[in-house]
Amino acid sequence: MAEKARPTPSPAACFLFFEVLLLTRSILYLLRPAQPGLEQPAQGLARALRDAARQTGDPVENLVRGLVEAINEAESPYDDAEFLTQIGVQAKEATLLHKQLGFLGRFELPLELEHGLLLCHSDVGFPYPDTLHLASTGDFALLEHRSARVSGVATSVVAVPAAFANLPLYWPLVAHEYGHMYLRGRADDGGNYSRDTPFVGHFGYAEAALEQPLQMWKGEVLCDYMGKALFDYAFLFPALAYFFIRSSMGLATFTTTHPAPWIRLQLLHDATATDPLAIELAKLMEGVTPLVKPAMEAGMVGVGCVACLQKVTEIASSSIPAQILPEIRQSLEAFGQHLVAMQVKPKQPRKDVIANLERAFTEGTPVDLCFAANGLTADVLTAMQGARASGDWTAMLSQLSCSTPTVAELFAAAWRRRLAIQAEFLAESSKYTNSYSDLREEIDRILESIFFLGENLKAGLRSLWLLGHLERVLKDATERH
Amino acid sequence: MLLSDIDILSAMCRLDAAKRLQIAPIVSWKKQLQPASVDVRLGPEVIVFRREMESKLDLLSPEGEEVTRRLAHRMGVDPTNGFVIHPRDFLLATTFESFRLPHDIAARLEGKSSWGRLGLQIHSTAGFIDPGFAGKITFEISNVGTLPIRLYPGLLVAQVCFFKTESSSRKAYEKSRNKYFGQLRTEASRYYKDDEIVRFIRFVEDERRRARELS
Repeated sequence: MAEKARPTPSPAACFLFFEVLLLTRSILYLLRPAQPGLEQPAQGLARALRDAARQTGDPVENLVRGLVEAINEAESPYDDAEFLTQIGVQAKEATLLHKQLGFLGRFELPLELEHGLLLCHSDVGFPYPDTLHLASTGDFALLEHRSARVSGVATSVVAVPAAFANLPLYWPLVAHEYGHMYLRGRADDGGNYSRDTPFVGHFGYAEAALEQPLQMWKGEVLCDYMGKALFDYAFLFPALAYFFIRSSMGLATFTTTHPAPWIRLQLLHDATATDPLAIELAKLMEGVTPLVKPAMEAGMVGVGCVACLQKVTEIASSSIPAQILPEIRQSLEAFGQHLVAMQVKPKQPRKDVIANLERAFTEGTPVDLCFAANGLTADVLTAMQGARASGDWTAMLSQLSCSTPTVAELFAAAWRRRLAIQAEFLAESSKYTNSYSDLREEIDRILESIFFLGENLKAGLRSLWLLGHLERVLKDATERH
Repeated sequence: MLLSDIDILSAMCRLDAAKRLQIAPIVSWKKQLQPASVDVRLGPEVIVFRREMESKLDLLSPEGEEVTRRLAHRMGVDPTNGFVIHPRDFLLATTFESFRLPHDIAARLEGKSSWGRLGLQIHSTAGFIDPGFAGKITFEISNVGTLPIRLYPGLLVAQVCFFKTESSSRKAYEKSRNKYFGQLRTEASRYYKDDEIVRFIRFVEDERRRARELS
C-alpha cells in the first residue's frame, strides 16, 4: 500500500508555531524564580580570582588574569530585567539605547558617577553640559544622538561597562570619553583640536591611509590628556591600572582607531614626570615595564610604525619613528595651552588632604572625618579656654572651617590606598605560592579591603555632594538675609 | 555627666587624636551647636522595607541574612526632591555627620521638638551610642502622626548629646567585635551576626532535627 504523503505545513502555521515558541520562552523567563538581589561584582571577582589561583602557582599572573576574567564576567551577576527596569528602556545594547535617547531624558546610573563628574567640573570651573548623559552598558564609548525632532541639540552618552558601575575607583575614566565630546564640540565650532583635523606637521608626504589612523590615535591621546586635566591623578591611576589589566592581552595591541597602551602610558607618564606625586606613577610603571617585550623597547613609536607599515608598506619604517611622537607631543602641548586658556585645570592636589584621606581608608574610619582635616586649631583652643561671653563664642566659631577635599583628591587617595593593598598582597602572596588555601584566604581578605574601600569612596562622594548642596543653600540664605 | 557646649568643644580639641571627639562634616557650627548637644542632619540615603517580599521575619531562621537583604531596599535621595514618609511607615537613614567617640564619652540620639510635634520619630528604641563608636548614627524613622511628611537630606532632624563616663571604658566599641563599627551608609539590621543569635539558631535547628528523627 502506498504510503500516505504527509501534508506540508503552511508558512502561516510555521510562523504561528515559532510565535508560540517565543511566547512560551518569554513567559518562562518572566516566571523564573525571583533573584535574591544583585550580587556584588566583588563576589564575582573573588570567585574568578580563586579559580585563577587554582590554575598556576604564579600569583601575579593569576591576579592579572583573574581581574581580566572578572571584568569580563562581572556583567553576568546583573539581572538584565532589573537593569533594564532601572534605566527604563527595552534595549540592552548601547546602539539601541542610543536610538531611544530622545524619549528617555536623563540617566541616573549610577548616581555617584554623575555626581562625581558634576563635582569635578565644579572644582575645575568647567561647565557640565545638560546634554551629557551617563549610561552603564557596553564598553567605554561615547555615543552621540542628534535629533531635530527632540530639540536639535546633540545629546551625548558616555557609556561605561556595567561591570564598572559598582567599581567607583574606575569612574574617572569617563573623563576620557568626555574629552571626545569636547573635541567634537570644538570641531563643530571650527576649533583646531578635533581628531578629524589633518595631521599637519611632518606628514605632508604621507598617504591618506597613513594619516587616518594617526588622526584617530592623536584624538585618543588628547582625550587622555583631557582626563588628566579634569581629574589629574584620579584619572592617571585608573588609566594606568586599566592599561595594566589590558597588558595581559598585550601592551602592543593596537587598532586603527586606538594606539597601543604603551604610547598612552608613556605620554601620561611624561605628562607628570616633573611632579613629586609622579613617583607613585613611576612605581606603577616599574610594574608594567617587565611586561614590555624587547621589540617594544624602542617605545611606542616602533609599534606605531608597525601599524603604519601595515597600512602603507612603501614608507620606510626608519623615517617614521622620529616624526610620530614629536607630532603628538606638539598637539598635546597646544591642546594643554588651550585647556589652560579655557580655565580647564584642576586645583593642585593637596598632599595633606590626600594623606588624611588615605589614613582614613587604611583605618576604615569614615572618610567624612577627614573633611575637617586639621581639626580645631590651637588658636581656637586658646580662644575657647578663655571664652565665656557670647561675643567671644561668635568670633571663635567663625574660625572653624572644614577643609573639604575635592573629588579628585578623594579618588587619588583611594587609588593610593588600593595600590598599597595590592602591593601588600603581592608581597604576602609570594609566601603562599605552595598553599592555595592560604592564598585564597589572603585574596578574600584583600578583596574585602578593596570592596570596603569602594564603599567608603561612595559614601565620601555622597557626603561631598550633599555638603556642596548645603553650602550653596546656606550661602544663598545668607545673601538674601 | 552631660557635656555642655564648652565641654563638647573641649572634647573635640583634645591634643591626643585617639582621645578626641570627632564630628564631621559640620556645615554650620553656629547653627548646630546647642547648649548641651549638637544638631545633626539627615543623610542622603535611606533603606525602605519591601513587605511584599516576605510573609514574616523569623529571627531564628538560618536564612536571616538572605531575608533581610530581600526586605531592605536602599535608595539614594535627591536633596531637592526628598522623600515622603507616610503615616505608620518605617524606614532607616543615617546622620549626614560621621562620629568618632573616644573611650570615655558615650552619646545619645534624641529627636527634636519641632519634628516630634508633627509625629516624626527619629529612633524607635536604639538611641544610645557606646564609647569607641565610629561611623554614622542610624535613624529609625517612623511617622506616628496622621499626615505624610516630606523629608529632605540635609535637614536638621535630630540632636546628639554626650556623656562623660566616670572612667575610660575597658571594653569599648570596636571594629573586631561590633557589627556596626565604621558604618558609612545606611545599614539594615545585622542581628544574624550576633554570636548568641547564631548559637540560638544552631540550637533550634538541632532540636528540630532531633524531633524529626524521633518522629
